[in-house]
Amino acid sequence: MTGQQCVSGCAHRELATGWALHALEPAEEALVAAHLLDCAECARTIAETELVGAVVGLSVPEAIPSPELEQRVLAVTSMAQAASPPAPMLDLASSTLGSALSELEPASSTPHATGLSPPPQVPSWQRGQEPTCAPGTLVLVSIALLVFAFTFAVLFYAMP
Amino acid sequence: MADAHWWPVRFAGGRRQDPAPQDPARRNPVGWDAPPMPPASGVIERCSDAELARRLRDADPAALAELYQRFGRLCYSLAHRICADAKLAEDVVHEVFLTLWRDPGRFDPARESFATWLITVLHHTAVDAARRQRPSHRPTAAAAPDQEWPVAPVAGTGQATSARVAASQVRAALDQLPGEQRQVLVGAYFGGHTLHEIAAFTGVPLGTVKARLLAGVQRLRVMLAERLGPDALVAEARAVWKLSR
Repeated sequence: MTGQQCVSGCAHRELATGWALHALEPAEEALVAAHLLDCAECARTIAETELVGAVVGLSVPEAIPSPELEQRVLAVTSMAQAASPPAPMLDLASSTLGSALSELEPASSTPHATGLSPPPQVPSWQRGQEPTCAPGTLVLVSIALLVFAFTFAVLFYAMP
Repeated sequence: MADAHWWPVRFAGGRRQDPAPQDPARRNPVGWDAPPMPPASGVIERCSDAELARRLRDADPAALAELYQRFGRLCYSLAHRICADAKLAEDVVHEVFLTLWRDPGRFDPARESFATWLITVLHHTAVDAARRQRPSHRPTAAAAPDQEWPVAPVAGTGQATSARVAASQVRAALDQLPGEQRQVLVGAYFGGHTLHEIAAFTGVPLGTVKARLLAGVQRLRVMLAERLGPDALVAEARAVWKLSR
Protein backbone atom coordinates (compact mmCIF):
# COMPACT_ATOMS: atom_id res chain seq x y z
CA MET A 1 0.00 0.00 0.00
CA THR A 2 2.81 2.32 0.77
CA GLY A 3 3.45 4.64 -2.11
CA GLN A 4 0.67 3.28 -4.31
CA GLN A 5 -0.77 6.75 -4.84
CA CYS A 6 2.58 8.17 -5.79
CA VAL A 7 4.18 5.71 -8.17
CA SER A 8 3.80 7.98 -11.16
CA GLY A 9 5.46 11.29 -11.79
CA CYS A 10 8.83 12.72 -11.00
CA ALA A 11 11.21 10.51 -9.07
CA HIS A 12 12.15 13.43 -6.83
CA ARG A 13 8.72 13.83 -5.27
CA GLU A 14 9.82 11.94 -2.18
CA LEU A 15 12.68 14.34 -1.69
CA ALA A 16 10.38 17.26 -2.40
CA THR A 17 8.05 16.11 0.37
CA GLY A 18 10.95 15.83 2.79
CA TRP A 19 12.16 19.26 1.69
CA ALA A 20 8.80 20.85 2.47
CA LEU A 21 8.89 19.36 5.97
CA HIS A 22 12.51 20.40 6.53
CA ALA A 23 13.50 16.75 6.97
CA LEU A 24 16.39 16.43 4.52
CA GLU A 25 20.12 16.50 4.97
CA PRO A 26 21.87 19.63 3.64
CA ALA A 27 23.13 17.92 0.48
CA GLU A 28 19.63 16.73 -0.37
CA GLU A 29 18.18 20.16 0.27
CA ALA A 30 20.58 21.67 -2.25
CA LEU A 31 19.62 19.00 -4.77
CA VAL A 32 15.92 19.73 -4.41
CA ALA A 33 16.46 23.49 -4.58
CA ALA A 34 18.22 23.10 -7.91
CA HIS A 35 15.64 20.60 -9.16
CA LEU A 36 12.78 23.00 -8.45
CA LEU A 37 13.96 25.20 -11.29
CA ASP A 38 12.73 22.70 -13.84
CA CYS A 39 10.06 20.61 -12.17
CA ALA A 40 6.58 22.01 -11.75
CA GLU A 41 5.37 18.71 -10.35
CA CYS A 42 7.78 18.84 -7.43
CA ALA A 43 6.89 22.47 -6.84
CA ARG A 44 3.25 21.44 -6.62
CA THR A 45 4.15 18.58 -4.30
CA ILE A 46 5.95 21.00 -2.00
CA ALA A 47 3.00 23.39 -1.98
CA GLU A 48 0.63 20.56 -1.11
CA THR A 49 2.92 19.27 1.60
CA GLU A 50 3.35 22.70 3.17
CA LEU A 51 -0.44 23.04 3.22
CA VAL A 52 -0.88 19.68 4.92
CA GLY A 53 1.88 20.51 7.37
CA ALA A 54 0.26 23.82 8.24
CA VAL A 55 -3.09 22.14 8.94
CA VAL A 56 -1.40 19.55 11.13
CA GLY A 57 0.46 22.33 12.90
CA LEU A 58 -2.77 24.21 13.50
CA SER A 59 -4.24 21.31 15.41
CA VAL A 60 -1.73 21.16 18.24
CA PRO A 61 -3.08 21.64 21.73
CA GLU A 62 -3.07 25.21 22.87
CA ALA A 63 -0.15 26.38 24.98
CA ILE A 64 -0.12 29.76 26.69
CA PRO A 65 3.01 31.91 26.30
CA SER A 66 4.16 34.28 28.99
CA PRO A 67 2.88 37.87 28.81
CA GLU A 68 6.46 39.00 28.22
CA LEU A 69 6.49 37.35 24.78
CA GLU A 70 3.96 39.81 23.40
CA GLN A 71 6.01 42.70 24.73
CA ARG A 72 9.15 41.27 23.14
CA VAL A 73 7.43 40.82 19.80
CA LEU A 74 5.91 44.30 19.78
CA ALA A 75 9.23 45.81 20.79
CA VAL A 76 10.77 44.79 17.47
CA THR A 77 8.85 47.61 15.81
CA SER A 78 10.94 50.17 17.67
CA MET A 79 14.18 48.71 16.40
CA ALA A 80 16.01 50.49 13.62
CA GLN A 81 15.21 48.61 10.46
CA ALA A 82 16.56 50.55 7.51
CA ALA A 83 20.10 49.23 7.78
CA SER A 84 19.32 45.95 9.47
CA PRO A 85 19.81 42.79 7.44
CA PRO A 86 17.35 39.93 7.87
CA ALA A 87 17.97 37.71 10.84
CA PRO A 88 20.71 35.26 9.82
CA MET A 89 19.26 32.40 11.86
CA LEU A 90 16.30 32.21 9.52
CA ASP A 91 18.20 31.24 6.41
CA LEU A 92 16.63 27.82 6.50
CA ALA A 93 13.28 29.33 7.21
CA SER A 94 13.48 31.01 3.84
CA SER A 95 13.38 27.58 2.24
CA THR A 96 9.62 27.67 1.92
CA LEU A 97 8.41 27.21 -1.60
CA GLY A 98 7.37 30.79 -2.16
CA SER A 99 10.58 32.21 -0.75
CA ALA A 100 12.75 29.83 -2.69
CA LEU A 101 11.06 30.67 -5.96
CA SER A 102 11.26 34.37 -5.17
CA GLU A 103 15.00 34.12 -4.82
CA LEU A 104 15.23 32.69 -8.30
CA GLU A 105 13.57 35.74 -9.81
CA PRO A 106 14.94 39.24 -10.38
CA ALA A 107 15.08 41.40 -7.32
CA SER A 108 11.71 42.69 -6.37
CA SER A 109 10.95 46.36 -6.05
CA THR A 110 9.79 46.21 -2.49
CA PRO A 111 11.01 49.10 -0.39
CA HIS A 112 13.02 46.81 1.86
CA ALA A 113 14.74 45.08 -1.05
CA THR A 114 15.79 48.27 -2.76
CA GLY A 115 16.91 50.07 0.35
CA LEU A 116 14.23 52.70 -0.16
CA SER A 117 12.37 51.87 2.96
CA PRO A 118 11.16 54.83 4.96
CA PRO A 119 13.47 56.00 7.72
CA PRO A 120 13.00 54.48 11.15
CA GLN A 121 10.03 55.90 12.87
CA VAL A 122 10.77 58.00 15.89
CA PRO A 123 8.35 57.41 18.72
CA SER A 124 6.19 60.40 19.44
CA TRP A 125 7.52 60.65 22.95
CA GLN A 126 11.07 61.00 21.63
CA ARG A 127 10.39 63.28 18.70
CA GLY A 128 9.98 66.40 20.89
CA GLN A 129 13.29 65.72 22.60
CA GLU A 130 15.41 65.87 19.51
CA PRO A 131 17.92 68.75 19.70
CA THR A 132 17.60 71.26 16.89
CA CYS A 133 21.30 72.16 16.99
CA ALA A 134 24.42 70.44 18.22
CA PRO A 135 25.70 71.72 21.62
CA GLY A 136 29.20 72.19 20.24
CA THR A 137 27.92 74.63 17.66
CA LEU A 138 26.38 76.81 20.34
CA VAL A 139 29.67 77.00 22.23
CA LEU A 140 31.60 78.03 19.12
CA VAL A 141 29.09 80.72 18.26
CA SER A 142 29.24 82.11 21.80
CA ILE A 143 33.04 82.27 21.75
CA ALA A 144 33.01 83.99 18.39
CA LEU A 145 30.57 86.60 19.65
CA LEU A 146 32.69 87.26 22.75
CA VAL A 147 35.86 87.67 20.68
CA PHE A 148 34.07 90.00 18.30
CA ALA A 149 32.69 92.12 21.17
CA PHE A 150 36.09 92.26 22.90
CA THR A 151 37.83 93.34 19.71
CA PHE A 152 35.19 95.94 19.01
CA ALA A 153 35.52 97.35 22.56
CA VAL A 154 39.31 97.53 22.39
CA LEU A 155 39.21 99.31 19.06
CA PHE A 156 36.49 101.69 20.28
CA TYR A 157 38.40 102.75 23.40
CA ALA A 158 41.75 102.83 21.58
CA MET A 159 40.48 105.39 19.11
CA PRO A 160 41.74 108.90 19.84
CA MET B 1 -7.19 46.71 21.39
CA ALA B 2 -4.26 45.45 19.43
CA ASP B 3 -2.97 48.85 18.32
CA ALA B 4 -3.23 50.47 21.72
CA HIS B 5 0.27 49.16 22.46
CA TRP B 6 2.02 51.17 19.79
CA TRP B 7 0.02 54.39 19.88
CA PRO B 8 0.03 55.39 23.50
CA VAL B 9 -1.56 58.80 22.94
CA ARG B 10 -4.55 57.32 21.23
CA PHE B 11 -6.45 56.56 24.36
CA ALA B 12 -6.35 58.14 27.77
CA GLY B 13 -8.59 56.84 30.46
CA GLY B 14 -10.45 54.83 27.89
CA ARG B 15 -11.51 57.92 25.90
CA ARG B 16 -10.31 58.85 22.45
CA GLN B 17 -8.20 62.00 22.27
CA ASP B 18 -7.80 62.42 18.54
CA PRO B 19 -10.41 61.99 15.83
CA ALA B 20 -10.36 58.75 13.94
CA PRO B 21 -9.12 59.07 10.35
CA GLN B 22 -11.59 58.08 7.69
CA ASP B 23 -8.97 56.37 5.56
CA PRO B 24 -6.77 54.08 7.63
CA ALA B 25 -4.15 53.88 4.90
CA ARG B 26 -3.43 57.58 4.58
CA ARG B 27 -0.27 58.99 5.98
CA ASN B 28 0.12 61.53 8.72
CA PRO B 29 0.10 64.87 6.90
CA VAL B 30 2.59 66.55 9.22
CA GLY B 31 5.64 65.17 7.45
CA TRP B 32 7.10 62.47 5.30
CA ASP B 33 8.88 60.87 8.22
CA ALA B 34 5.85 60.64 10.43
CA PRO B 35 4.40 57.26 11.33
CA PRO B 36 1.16 56.22 9.69
CA MET B 37 -1.88 57.50 11.43
CA PRO B 38 -3.65 54.98 13.60
CA PRO B 39 -6.49 53.24 11.85
CA ALA B 40 -9.99 53.70 13.05
CA SER B 41 -11.07 51.39 15.78
CA GLY B 42 -12.04 48.01 14.41
CA VAL B 43 -10.62 48.57 10.92
CA ILE B 44 -7.36 46.75 11.43
CA GLU B 45 -9.18 43.79 12.92
CA ARG B 46 -11.16 43.41 9.71
CA CYS B 47 -8.10 43.38 7.47
CA SER B 48 -7.19 40.12 5.84
CA ASP B 49 -3.92 38.44 6.72
CA ALA B 50 -2.52 39.39 3.31
CA GLU B 51 -3.51 43.03 3.80
CA LEU B 52 -1.79 43.10 7.17
CA ALA B 53 1.30 41.58 5.59
CA ARG B 54 1.21 44.31 2.95
CA ARG B 55 1.02 46.93 5.67
CA LEU B 56 4.21 45.53 7.12
CA ARG B 57 6.00 46.73 4.00
CA ASP B 58 4.99 50.23 5.11
CA ALA B 59 6.41 49.47 8.57
CA ASP B 60 3.00 49.67 10.21
CA PRO B 61 3.39 48.51 13.82
CA ALA B 62 -0.35 48.01 14.20
CA ALA B 63 -0.24 45.36 11.48
CA LEU B 64 2.39 43.40 13.35
CA ALA B 65 0.44 43.70 16.57
CA GLU B 66 -2.70 42.40 14.90
CA LEU B 67 -0.84 39.52 13.26
CA TYR B 68 0.56 38.58 16.63
CA GLN B 69 -2.93 38.65 18.08
CA ARG B 70 -4.06 36.30 15.33
CA PHE B 71 -1.12 33.92 15.17
CA GLY B 72 1.03 34.47 18.26
CA ARG B 73 -0.53 31.87 20.48
CA LEU B 74 -0.80 29.39 17.64
CA CYS B 75 2.85 29.87 16.74
CA TYR B 76 3.86 29.44 20.34
CA SER B 77 1.76 26.29 20.69
CA LEU B 78 3.40 24.69 17.67
CA ALA B 79 6.89 25.79 18.70
CA HIS B 80 6.27 24.44 22.20
CA ARG B 81 5.12 21.12 20.75
CA ILE B 82 8.30 20.83 18.67
CA CYS B 83 10.86 22.26 21.10
CA ALA B 84 9.28 20.93 24.31
CA ASP B 85 10.76 23.95 26.07
CA ALA B 86 8.86 27.11 26.95
CA LYS B 87 11.81 29.49 26.80
CA LEU B 88 13.07 28.07 23.53
CA ALA B 89 9.59 28.21 22.02
CA GLU B 90 9.26 31.89 22.92
CA ASP B 91 12.65 32.61 21.36
CA VAL B 92 11.48 30.93 18.18
CA VAL B 93 8.28 32.96 18.02
CA HIS B 94 10.15 36.18 18.71
CA GLU B 95 12.64 35.42 15.97
CA VAL B 96 9.97 34.64 13.41
CA PHE B 97 8.09 37.86 14.06
CA LEU B 98 11.33 39.83 14.09
CA THR B 99 12.15 38.52 10.63
CA LEU B 100 8.60 39.16 9.48
CA TRP B 101 8.96 42.79 10.60
CA ARG B 102 12.37 43.30 9.06
CA ASP B 103 11.76 41.50 5.80
CA PRO B 104 8.02 41.20 5.04
CA GLY B 105 8.82 40.76 1.36
CA ARG B 106 9.62 37.12 2.02
CA PHE B 107 5.91 36.41 1.95
CA ASP B 108 4.44 36.35 -1.54
CA PRO B 109 0.63 36.44 -1.47
CA ALA B 110 0.48 35.25 -5.07
CA ARG B 111 1.97 31.88 -4.16
CA GLU B 112 0.48 30.85 -0.84
CA SER B 113 -1.66 32.02 2.01
CA PHE B 114 -0.06 33.99 4.80
CA ALA B 115 -1.06 31.35 7.34
CA THR B 116 0.63 28.57 5.38
CA TRP B 117 3.76 30.65 4.89
CA LEU B 118 3.98 31.74 8.51
CA ILE B 119 3.40 28.29 9.94
CA THR B 120 5.94 26.78 7.55
CA VAL B 121 8.57 29.33 8.56
CA LEU B 122 7.70 28.84 12.22
CA HIS B 123 7.96 25.07 11.85
CA HIS B 124 11.36 25.21 10.14
CA THR B 125 12.71 27.66 12.71
CA ALA B 126 11.44 25.56 15.60
CA VAL B 127 12.95 22.41 14.09
CA ASP B 128 16.31 24.16 13.74
CA ALA B 129 16.14 25.29 17.35
CA ALA B 130 15.17 21.82 18.56
CA ARG B 131 17.98 20.18 16.62
CA ARG B 132 20.54 22.39 18.30
CA GLN B 133 19.27 21.28 21.70
CA ARG B 134 19.29 17.51 21.38
CA PRO B 135 21.37 14.65 20.08
CA SER B 136 20.33 13.51 16.64
CA HIS B 137 20.68 9.79 17.16
CA ARG B 138 17.77 9.35 19.51
CA PRO B 139 14.09 9.91 18.84
CA THR B 140 12.57 12.70 20.88
CA ALA B 141 9.38 12.46 22.88
CA ALA B 142 7.72 14.78 20.38
CA ALA B 143 8.41 12.22 17.66
CA ALA B 144 6.39 9.51 19.36
CA PRO B 145 3.46 8.79 17.05
CA ASP B 146 1.23 7.69 19.89
CA GLN B 147 1.97 10.62 22.16
CA GLU B 148 -1.04 11.85 24.02
CA TRP B 149 -2.43 14.74 22.01
CA PRO B 150 -5.47 16.15 23.77
CA VAL B 151 -7.35 19.06 22.37
CA ALA B 152 -7.19 21.93 24.82
CA PRO B 153 -10.53 22.57 26.50
CA VAL B 154 -11.93 26.00 25.78
CA ALA B 155 -14.80 27.85 27.42
CA GLY B 156 -17.99 26.08 26.52
CA THR B 157 -19.37 27.83 23.49
CA GLY B 158 -20.50 26.61 20.13
CA GLN B 159 -17.44 28.12 18.51
CA ALA B 160 -15.12 26.41 20.93
CA THR B 161 -16.86 23.18 20.19
CA SER B 162 -16.18 23.75 16.49
CA ALA B 163 -12.52 24.31 17.24
CA ARG B 164 -12.33 21.06 19.17
CA VAL B 165 -14.11 19.23 16.40
CA ALA B 166 -11.73 20.57 13.74
CA ALA B 167 -8.64 19.68 15.75
CA SER B 168 -10.13 16.30 16.51
CA GLN B 169 -10.69 15.70 12.81
CA VAL B 170 -7.05 16.37 12.07
CA ARG B 171 -6.05 14.03 14.86
CA ALA B 172 -8.48 11.42 13.61
CA ALA B 173 -7.07 11.69 10.11
CA LEU B 174 -3.58 11.17 11.50
CA ASP B 175 -4.78 8.18 13.45
CA GLN B 176 -6.21 6.64 10.30
CA LEU B 177 -2.86 6.69 8.58
CA PRO B 178 -1.03 3.38 8.49
CA GLY B 179 1.21 3.22 11.53
CA GLU B 180 4.46 3.22 9.58
CA GLN B 181 3.43 6.32 7.64
CA ARG B 182 2.28 8.13 10.78
CA GLN B 183 5.55 7.27 12.49
CA VAL B 184 7.59 8.92 9.75
CA LEU B 185 5.31 11.93 9.41
CA VAL B 186 5.10 12.66 13.13
CA GLY B 187 8.80 11.98 13.61
CA ALA B 188 9.71 14.44 10.90
CA TYR B 189 7.14 17.15 11.57
CA PHE B 190 6.90 17.22 15.36
CA GLY B 191 10.11 15.41 16.23
CA GLY B 192 12.19 17.55 13.89
CA HIS B 193 14.14 14.51 12.69
CA THR B 194 15.59 14.15 9.25
CA LEU B 195 14.61 11.13 7.20
CA HIS B 196 18.14 9.78 7.66
CA GLU B 197 17.73 9.93 11.43
CA ILE B 198 14.35 8.20 11.29
CA ALA B 199 15.80 5.46 9.13
CA ALA B 200 18.68 5.05 11.57
CA PHE B 201 16.66 4.68 14.75
CA THR B 202 13.87 2.62 13.21
CA GLY B 203 16.10 0.31 11.22
CA VAL B 204 14.00 0.86 8.09
CA PRO B 205 15.82 1.46 4.78
CA LEU B 206 16.05 5.13 3.85
CA GLY B 207 14.22 4.64 0.56
CA THR B 208 11.31 3.07 2.39
CA VAL B 209 11.19 5.95 4.86
CA LYS B 210 11.04 8.45 1.99
CA ALA B 211 8.29 6.51 0.26
CA ARG B 212 6.29 6.28 3.47
CA LEU B 213 6.53 10.02 4.03
CA LEU B 214 5.30 10.84 0.54
CA ALA B 215 2.49 8.31 0.74
CA GLY B 216 1.48 9.50 4.20
CA VAL B 217 1.35 13.17 3.22
CA GLN B 218 -0.66 12.47 0.10
CA ARG B 219 -3.08 10.25 1.96
CA LEU B 220 -3.45 12.78 4.76
CA ARG B 221 -4.11 15.53 2.24
CA VAL B 222 -7.00 13.60 0.77
CA MET B 223 -8.46 12.79 4.17
CA LEU B 224 -8.18 16.38 5.41
CA ALA B 225 -9.83 17.67 2.28
CA GLU B 226 -12.71 15.28 2.86
CA ARG B 227 -13.05 16.26 6.51
CA LEU B 228 -12.40 20.00 6.43
CA GLY B 229 -13.48 20.84 2.90
CA PRO B 230 -11.75 20.67 -0.45
CA ASP B 231 -10.74 24.32 -0.58
CA ALA B 232 -8.49 26.41 1.61
CA LEU B 233 -7.70 23.84 4.25
CA VAL B 234 -5.55 26.24 6.20
CA ALA B 235 -8.06 29.06 6.04
CA GLU B 236 -10.68 26.76 7.45
CA ALA B 237 -8.50 25.44 10.21
CA ARG B 238 -7.17 28.87 11.11
CA ALA B 239 -10.68 30.27 11.26
CA VAL B 240 -11.80 27.78 13.84
CA TRP B 241 -8.59 28.30 15.75
CA LYS B 242 -9.22 32.04 15.82
CA LEU B 243 -12.71 31.46 17.12
CA SER B 244 -11.31 29.50 20.01
CA ARG B 245 -9.19 32.40 21.27
